[in-house]
Amino acid sequence: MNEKELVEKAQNGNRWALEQLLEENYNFVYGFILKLSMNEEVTKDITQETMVKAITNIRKYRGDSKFSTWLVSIASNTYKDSLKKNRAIPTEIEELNLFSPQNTENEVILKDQIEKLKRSLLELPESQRKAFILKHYYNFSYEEIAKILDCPIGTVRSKLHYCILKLKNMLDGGA
Amino acid sequence: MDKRCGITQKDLMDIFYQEKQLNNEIKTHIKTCKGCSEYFESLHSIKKEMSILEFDQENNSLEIINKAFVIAELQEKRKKEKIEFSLFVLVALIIISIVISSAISGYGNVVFLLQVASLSLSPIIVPLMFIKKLRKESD
Repeated sequence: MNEKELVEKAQNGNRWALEQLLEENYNFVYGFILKLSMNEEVTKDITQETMVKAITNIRKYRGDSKFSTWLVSIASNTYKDSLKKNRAIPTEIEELNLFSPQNTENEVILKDQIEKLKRSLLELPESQRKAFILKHYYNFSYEEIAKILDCPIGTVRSKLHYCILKLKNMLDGGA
Repeated sequence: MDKRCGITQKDLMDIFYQEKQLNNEIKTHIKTCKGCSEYFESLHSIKKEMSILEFDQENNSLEIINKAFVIAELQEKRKKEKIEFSLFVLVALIIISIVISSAISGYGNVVFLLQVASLSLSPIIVPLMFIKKLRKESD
């Protein structure tokens, strides 16, 4: 069953169809928020809130964009709201269990590298970070990112460009 | 960095993210401009470095989605209850205001008689409604 059919069924109150849609997009939403917040607890909360909002508002989805685009815009706004509410977005970056390195030496090097990258990402302004994550990790088109961030395509390109310049500078060892 | 390089670097970014095709003009520019060729290289190095953050996630999607359904149902129920309560308050206010205005305009006796009639009808109507509901449920 394709996405359109699932959406149609979900909008008519079919729980199984809605479950399928949410399950198919779960990893993507979770990964997006995890990269955005760098915190697993916050990610779990926001992912769940996103799912709740998607369930209660499924009839409002017009189908003019991919379901994943709609879902990620909910996740993006939920994250933004949680920042506004000052809800525990930790200043300390928590340790994420990402890999099982082969030996201790590798583990130390990788942890250092990961810390550096996480800090680099978290130092970027929220909207630039969102644009970068959506383009770099999920290959969303500029048009889709513009829809999600509710800004013109030109602004998306500028955000991404400045983000790349900052990352380049940070990874080169700059401030 | 001059204006031309700013534009070219954005174009290079578009090419890197497959939003645009590499053309001869840009090719020639990056061959002659150190800043832009470094920028293009940095796009590749950023991709390489950032690939570490391609997390493997623990998959407890079903648990979270099921919990989300429960929360959504609760929210819907609360929303419905709020609407019903608001409607009840609205209807009650309308009836009270009709009764008061009728009493003020000299229809006090009629209001009193109607109230007595409705109160004496309710012991008959309520059981009838209850029986009807039970029959409907058993069908």
